[in-house]
Order: sequence, then structure tokens, then C-alpha cells
Amino acid sequence: MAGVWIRAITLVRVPDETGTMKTYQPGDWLQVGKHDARMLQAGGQAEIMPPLLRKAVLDLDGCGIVAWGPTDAVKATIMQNLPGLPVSKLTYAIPYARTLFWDPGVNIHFGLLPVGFSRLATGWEIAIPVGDYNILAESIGTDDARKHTREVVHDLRVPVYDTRLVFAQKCEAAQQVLTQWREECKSGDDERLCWLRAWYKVKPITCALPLTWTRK
Amino acid sequence: MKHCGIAYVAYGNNACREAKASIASLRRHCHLPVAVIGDEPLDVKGIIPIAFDVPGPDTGTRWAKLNLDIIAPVEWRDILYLDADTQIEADVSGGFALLAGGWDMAIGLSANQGGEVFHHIGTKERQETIEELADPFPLQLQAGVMFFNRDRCAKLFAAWREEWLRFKDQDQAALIRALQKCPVRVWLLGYPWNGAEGSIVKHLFGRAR
Repeated sequence: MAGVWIRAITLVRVPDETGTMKTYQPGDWLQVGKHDARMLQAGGQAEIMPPLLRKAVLDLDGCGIVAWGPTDAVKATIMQNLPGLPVSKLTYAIPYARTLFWDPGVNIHFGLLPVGFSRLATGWEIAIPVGDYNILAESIGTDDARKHTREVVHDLRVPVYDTRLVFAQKCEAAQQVLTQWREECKSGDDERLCWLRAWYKVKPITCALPLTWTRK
Repeated sequence: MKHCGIAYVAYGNNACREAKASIASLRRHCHLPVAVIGDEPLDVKGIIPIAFDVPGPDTGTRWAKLNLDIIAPVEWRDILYLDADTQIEADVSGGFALLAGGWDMAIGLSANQGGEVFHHIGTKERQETIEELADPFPLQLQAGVMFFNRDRCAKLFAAWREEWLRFKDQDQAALIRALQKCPVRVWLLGYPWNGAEGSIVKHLFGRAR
């Protein structure tokens, strides 16, 4: 959809291309027609972003999505929300310069996805949301999984990450952590503990994202 | 642990009293060298006093903290910074092990997230930070307890100082902006490491005064 990129300040409801009303959360980025953009801005519901920031955040060249789930369903969702982004089926090899590995079972703010991609353009190798601020690694998984994880990371009084939404730059460290994570998951342990072990071993430069990315 | 040390910043009577209590609690669990940066030497046996001129008691405290990578004892490679109003409840050596293992910084989450993010920051700085991050609710870190490797975090600290000088207020938003400019390997710590009820470091957030 050609139009003006704006960012929601309050809840914004606008129709999509099929006429279905869609709700956007504060902070979400969306594209609307010029008239709607001006009306929303005048009403204090959204802001038209300055060109420099817009360019930094909305440069989606080289970005793409790997679906951890039915590819067709993800493609349809992406077509609605971020048209033009390529979608690949499940792989652990990072296919795009900036890739989002997404399990469609997790709620995400589509309006924030461009921001996630933009993090990878500023030096971060991975961007991933924290799972829950109050749930620590010491309180999840089996005794054996925790023991195994403690042997690697030493202290489990740390938050875990939501591995259903992983932004990865196409680089050695990001690739290594995904490969290592896959290897760790063969143990059958909780995937979040597996991530913690893989992440500790590889140590990619990681931007931790807040819970708001996965909870509406 | 040969090149490790623990740093406090304490200017003024209240901060000095808090720092003394914090060091006393620390000594029950850890015998690493302790340095206190302030306007006058703290009356505590065995600490390393560091004089550092700052512009004023409140903002100056933050400026001293943001210069830790420069003013901490030269032999220290890995540093734990503790706010004066902390109470040490358990062994903190695990944080230094993270740095030795290759992490550049280990720091906890702030209790203020989501709609409360940067609530204590001035309006102008909060708005500009959110604007620059393009995220209305960025993850807020709590820099009152942080482990860092001074060499690997030198660029980050330089960026932190630069960002702080823009508003000269609190330091958390400046840290988040600095991290976007100079990303480092950050290991996030849970609330036990820095929380109001922390089981390793209890942060009193001024309650000791």
C-alpha cells in the first residue's frame, strides 16, 4: 500500500485494504493515505514521522521473515501488515541480511517489527524480547534441565527470553547461536533454557526487547 | 578475581552514611577491594578513597559514576558499581564470573517498565529518548548495580557521558541511548541481583535515609 507512514500515539482504528477495521497500539507504525495521516495527526492520535527517523526505521531492504509455523498463514498475515516482506519456511540458516524468526503463535505488534529490523542495522546481532520480568530461569523446566543450564551459565537468577520472536542479523555470531540453540533443543529441555545455554556459549551482541513487544 | 574491584560513589552526608552501611553488608560476603569516589574520604578501614571534583552534589554523583571507567583504580579490569543505598545479602562473585566468561556488562532490569518506563526522567528527555529509540516502551535497565569490563565498555561509557551531558539529569535514559550507539554484550540479571527485595543485592532506593 502506498501512503504515508505514521506512528500511533493512542489506539488507532483504520480500515485495511479489504475494508476491515484494524486496531493499532501506541507506538505502532502504519501506512495510511495522506488525508487520513493529516486527520490522525490533527486529532493527536498519530504523528507523521520525521524523514530521518522514518528512513532509519522503515528501511526494510534485505529484511525477511522465517515462519516457525504454517508458511501460508504467515505470508497472509505479513501481506496484510507489512506487504512486500519475503517469507521463508522454517530454517535455522539465516536467509536474509536481517531476518525475523517468528512463531505466529505469539502476539506481536506488527507496527514495531520495522523497529526490530532497525535494531539490527545499528550493531546488534540479535534482538529478542524478555519472556517475563518476574520469571527466572531457576523457576522453569525440569530439575535436570536447570542443572544442565546452571552448569553452563552458573546462575539461574536471570530472566529468560521469548524465543518465539528472534531478530537475527546475517552474521557469524547470530548464525552460531541459532545453530547452537537447535543443538541444545535436542535435549528436550525447555526451549528458553536451551536458548540461555546457547546464548551464553556464543555471546552475540543482543538487544533485549521489552514485554510490550509480545503482549497487547 | 585479581583484577576485580567494587566501586561506590558517595557525595554528602546521607550518601556517605548509606555507603558505609552498604560496605559493611558487602564485607560479610566479599573481600574484594572497594573504592569510594567522593568529596571526602569515607571513615571505613581498608577502602580506597578517590577524590573527583564534580559540578554539584546531585548531578555530580552521576557524573562521577559515568566516569568510573576512567577514575577507578588502574589495576581493576572488571568492576562492580553499587549505589550507596544497596544492601548486600549474598555472594556477588557470580557477576564477575560473567565478565570473565566474556560478557561486557551484567545489569538488572528496572522495576519500572511499560507505561512506567522513564517515569522519573524529565519530559523533554523522555520524549526525545522514545523518539530516538522509535519504541514507546523501551526496556529500562537499573544502573544502580552493574558489573562491567572497563576496556570492553570504554566506548559505551564515553557515549553514556555524551548522552548524559545532553540533559544532565538521571542516567538511565542516557544509558539506553548510549547502548543504541555502542552496543555491547549485555547479560541481563534478574531482580534478585538488584531489586527492592533482592536476595543478592537489596536496593533500598533511598529507604536507608
